[in-house]
Amino acid sequence: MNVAQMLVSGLISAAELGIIAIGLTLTFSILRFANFSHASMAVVGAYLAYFLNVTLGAPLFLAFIVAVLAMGLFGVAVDTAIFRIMRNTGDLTPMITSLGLSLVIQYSVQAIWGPQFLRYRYGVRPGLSLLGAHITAPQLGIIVVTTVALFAFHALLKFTTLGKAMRATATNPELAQACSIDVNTVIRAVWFIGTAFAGLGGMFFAWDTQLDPYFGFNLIIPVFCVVLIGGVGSFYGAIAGALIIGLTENVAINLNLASFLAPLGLASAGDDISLSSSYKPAVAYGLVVVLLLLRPSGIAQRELI
Amino acid sequence: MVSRRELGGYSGALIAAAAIGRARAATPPTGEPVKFGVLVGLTGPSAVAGNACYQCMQIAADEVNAAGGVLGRPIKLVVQDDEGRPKAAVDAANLLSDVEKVPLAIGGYSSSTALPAGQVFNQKSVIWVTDATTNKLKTVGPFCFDTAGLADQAAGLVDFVKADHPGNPGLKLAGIFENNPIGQDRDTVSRERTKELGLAWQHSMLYQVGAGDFRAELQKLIDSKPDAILTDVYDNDAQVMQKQLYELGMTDFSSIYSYNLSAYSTLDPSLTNGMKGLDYVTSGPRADEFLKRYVARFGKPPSDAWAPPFYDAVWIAAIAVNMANSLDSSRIRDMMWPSAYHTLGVSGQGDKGFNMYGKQAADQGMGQMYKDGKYVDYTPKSSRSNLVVFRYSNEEGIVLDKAPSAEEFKKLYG
Repeated sequence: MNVAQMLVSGLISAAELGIIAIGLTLTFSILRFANFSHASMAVVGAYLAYFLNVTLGAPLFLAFIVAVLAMGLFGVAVDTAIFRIMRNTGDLTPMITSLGLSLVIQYSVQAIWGPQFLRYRYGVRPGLSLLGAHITAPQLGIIVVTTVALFAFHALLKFTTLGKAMRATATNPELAQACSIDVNTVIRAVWFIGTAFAGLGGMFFAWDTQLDPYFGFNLIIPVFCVVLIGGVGSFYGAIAGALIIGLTENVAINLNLASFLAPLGLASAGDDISLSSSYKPAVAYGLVVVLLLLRPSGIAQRELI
Repeated sequence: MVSRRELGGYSGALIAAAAIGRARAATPPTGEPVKFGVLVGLTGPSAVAGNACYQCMQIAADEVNAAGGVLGRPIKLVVQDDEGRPKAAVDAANLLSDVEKVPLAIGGYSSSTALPAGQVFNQKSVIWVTDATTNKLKTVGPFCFDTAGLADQAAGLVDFVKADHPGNPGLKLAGIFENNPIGQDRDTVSRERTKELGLAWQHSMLYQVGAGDFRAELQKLIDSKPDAILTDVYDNDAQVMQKQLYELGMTDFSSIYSYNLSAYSTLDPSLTNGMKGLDYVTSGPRADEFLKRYVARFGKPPSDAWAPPFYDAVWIAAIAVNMANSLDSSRIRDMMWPSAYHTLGVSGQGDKGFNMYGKQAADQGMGQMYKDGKYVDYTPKSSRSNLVVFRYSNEEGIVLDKAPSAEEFKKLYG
């Protein structure tokens, strides 16, 4: 059992899920609907970076920066064109629309770039050895950049006028409007930041594994699990949820219970009593059920911060 | 009927023309096309392989039409995309059967789609010819055929690994398998064969196809400390896993043996050097001709070693239709056995004869290795040949030249 590797792999998963989940929970906190197209935005961001890096030949980091900004603008455009019209229709209409939008995005990406798996122009590098764990430079970069992004967002929420306006709108949109807060500007900012984060998460996921039109579909449920565990609409809750899901997925199937049962005489020290790896997808969802039974509103209260 | 041995000296085109009953310079087929259903994953996790399979079928269809078609009519491939999803495969099978009314369908690269589609086709008495390899295909029914060996034949890789480790009676093996029917079959077969050979099975990693991140599972596999790892990984999952193994600190891949070594062909050599395994070969008597035509049309060889059996499937089906002289699927079905018995294909070593289940009585793989960026033949240390043949040792290893009787079908399928 390589505990250090489990933790490192868990942090990488948490960073990739968390940055996407933050955007989702942010959207929900302000707009009050479950945006199923959010994971597809991760796919669009990843492919946009691919276009810049591979098709146009831009350096990878520049491609990422440009793609993140472009995704932010794309999110604003999507809201202007589609979701703005549904502002007062309740939460079901925009939710169903977002589901349709996610399918449109997936099949459009597939039609443009094809079904084959693609990679950025960045060679494979061996992992650096760190306290018994292996981590590559890109993976370290993913953790660092995600951490910086989260701190930056925390600072935005805590110390800027926009951040305060976002928190006020999340708490009570009508009262915020009555206090002369331009709610439309706040909403545009939410779409910009949320979609940019989704795109960044998609780029990280594609950089760490590879790029295909279906990875958004594979991510949507883990991302929603992160949001639910953390508490829908809670920024800190989403961080906690990402850490829980990321670490659990990596620890659960590697944990050998024999080392705990042996001192109690219930197993021998050399036994292997662990979950089969085929249960890995079930672990996260099982955890969601258990945690929500214990705390239905999630870990954090439903507040943005 | 010309015997198999007598057919050995003929070129494939002449065999086909003779079976179709036309001269070599065939009269172009005319009239309403005969529909051959095609059901493959043109999109989805196995899209690369699925497209290669369809391309092989297209070449065969063109050749059949150039040789006179079936019943004097051209064949037309009616394509449906199963998207790599069982539900989509079932819907497509229903469409092909009920709307397009095809007498036969070919496809199903992935066992997870081939099996449910096969069950639909069999219920509707539509012939289904696949090259999927789950053992459960034996239970589908008399209308289900296979032009590649089943998972049972996966035991050959265990023997290959043992032969590559002479003098190591305590060899410890682990495996990476898809968490679907074929992967589970291969896991079971591999573990059973390992036990039969007196070796130790350490760990089975059953992974979710297309998941993207396999670090947790791979870490567990590495921690089990096997001497050799058998991998049954395809398409893009193979590439992700290899990359993640490398990132987790594995740099010597000589302990990895694959059932489908060519799946790693597009990887950087540093990620494959030393890997060995078996590859499904395309080395039948007409293989060179087929490969030249494929490259001329599509620019490169088939991207998957399991695509050429679909070329053979189209030919076998076309010859069966002509032997039946009918589009009645039961009559065509009964002619599938003699058609396959007398057809020299391109896949495997060309012998595509069916056993009583309509499946391959034997299958072949060639030992190969990635060495310094090149894909070379590899003979295990204690073997004299890199050809591995698996033939069933019971009656399933007998090739039939005619269909089983009604009583025999009843015994097989109830």
